[in-house]
Amino acid sequence: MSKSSITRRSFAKTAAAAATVALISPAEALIQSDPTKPGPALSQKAQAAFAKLSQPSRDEVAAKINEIFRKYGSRLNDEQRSDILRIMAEGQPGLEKMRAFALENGDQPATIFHPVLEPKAAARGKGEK
Amino acid sequence: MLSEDTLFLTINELSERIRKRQISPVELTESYLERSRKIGPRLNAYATLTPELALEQARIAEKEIGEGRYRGPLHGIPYAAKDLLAVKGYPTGWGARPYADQKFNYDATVVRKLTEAGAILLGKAAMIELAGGMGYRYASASASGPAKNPWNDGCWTCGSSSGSAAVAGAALAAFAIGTETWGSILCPSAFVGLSGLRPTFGRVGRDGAMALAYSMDKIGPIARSAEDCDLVLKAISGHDSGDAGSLPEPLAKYQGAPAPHSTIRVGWIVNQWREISPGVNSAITVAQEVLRRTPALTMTTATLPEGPWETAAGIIISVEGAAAFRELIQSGRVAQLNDPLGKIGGYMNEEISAADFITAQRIRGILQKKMDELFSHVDVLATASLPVVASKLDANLDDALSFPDPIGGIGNFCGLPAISVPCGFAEGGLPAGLQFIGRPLDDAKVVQVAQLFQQQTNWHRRRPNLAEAPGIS
Repeated sequence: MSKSSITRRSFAKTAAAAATVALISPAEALIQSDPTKPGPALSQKAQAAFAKLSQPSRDEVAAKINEIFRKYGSRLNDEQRSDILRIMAEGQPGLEKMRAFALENGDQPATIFHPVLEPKAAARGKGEK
Repeated sequence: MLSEDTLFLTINELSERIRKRQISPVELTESYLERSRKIGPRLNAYATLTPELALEQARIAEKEIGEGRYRGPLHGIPYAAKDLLAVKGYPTGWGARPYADQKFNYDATVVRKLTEAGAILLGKAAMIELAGGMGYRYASASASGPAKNPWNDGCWTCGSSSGSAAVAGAALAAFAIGTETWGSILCPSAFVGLSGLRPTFGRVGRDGAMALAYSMDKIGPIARSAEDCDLVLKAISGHDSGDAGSLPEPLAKYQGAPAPHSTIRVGWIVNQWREISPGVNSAITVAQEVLRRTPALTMTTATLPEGPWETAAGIIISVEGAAAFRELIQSGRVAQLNDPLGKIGGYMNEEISAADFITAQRIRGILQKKMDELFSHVDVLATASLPVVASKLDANLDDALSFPDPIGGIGNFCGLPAISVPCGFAEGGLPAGLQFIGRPLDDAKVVQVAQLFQQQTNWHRRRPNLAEAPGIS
């Protein structure tokens, strides 16, 4: 039997899962740890925040959420997943406004770099701390 | 034991009595310790008391003063340090359960400077876990429990220096040290009717202080008066070679706020709070009138520049915090934090792109120039510290404190000095605060304006009746 073939039972399970996903919103599909099981209802706030976004914004939020779930998904319950979706969706418009702020190429970042270490800082670097 | 009247005196008043040997530093320390043991646990004010160290320092102070070796106005004055400041040999838990047993073998620069000034460390003030670095939604986001407001123990003191405000507000010490990355000195000061000074970024050294946002963390005093804040800042300011953000000594050292020689221009911000509670509005309206009547001040209006400042400031805090606590986040130990948002905030902050972080830093440079231009027209900006009074202890802060705060974002983004002073009482008999903000290194100007205000008002003299507060006696 090849690895790609499926049994009748597993086909039914896969089809059921596909049907479940089709019945829920893309946002809900994103947060459910197991789409074959009905998860807790996605909060209205989370659904509303995600629904307000443009498609490119949804894609960006979805990509970030997928990355979080890839790295840390085993630690998160459905409520936390829903919370993450809401917070990231709510934060996306502000992020886009910030990106739209007009900057010239020569507008330098206000970061600090000191090429020469002071004695105390150097000592800390050698493990004094 | 000394009376409550004595324990509520300002630093200046206490130090005068200590210098004249009318008050013994040992008796003062014992009195504050007894009060801290009795009232502290009811307010969740402290993470740790340091009675052995305090009494040792008090005996030394008493001996030195007795021998005529008076160090200055903080000599023999008891205080509390926020629990993110290292104190050799004592737990420094950063308000967070994952760090509950953490100890350092050295003192933070601020603690060392206060020791050199002769101040007496009574204990480590409770705080919001990791100074709120992973986000938090409830006042209970602290290993010590929610810090209760001395004016009403059903209300919060505000974070993250929540314990520092409880300590100072209940006169469990003469003053407390807090820190602010965004709001954590000004908000607790406003909610508890105290005077709190956020110094210019880089003026107070942070070696030995927990880092949340390397480019935005500041350390400052929470005390009973602007004059007290002035005294403490003089002692703790100065260059710190262990802090990459520290200013050179001539800039870092704060020389104090003498009586102003010329008129100070105060610009009342017209686009700060979208809504303000009726009670706070009434208090602020009266405060504005006091400022208008002050001969040394000229009042005008000021409009903050519009822009994505709050988002940009938030991105910098989030990214720097995610880097500072990377091990905690990636190990999954964030799950040990108390707050539901704190358990997941780090995961989201890790996803902010480097390009967005640098964009925020570039916007910061633009804003610095815009604020410099604004400060060519006024010396000091003024507005209500907050548009509401203290929130309920169990409130969801996403709802209770979720209003835009442009000057909070701008002031912390640009490292501007600011002070909050009490200006009356509002809903529920809770304190309202008034804030003054200055250009970088104009700490003295914000203190001068606050002192002028306090010379004409006595809100900073009011104190909570702890015997009558429910659950506190």
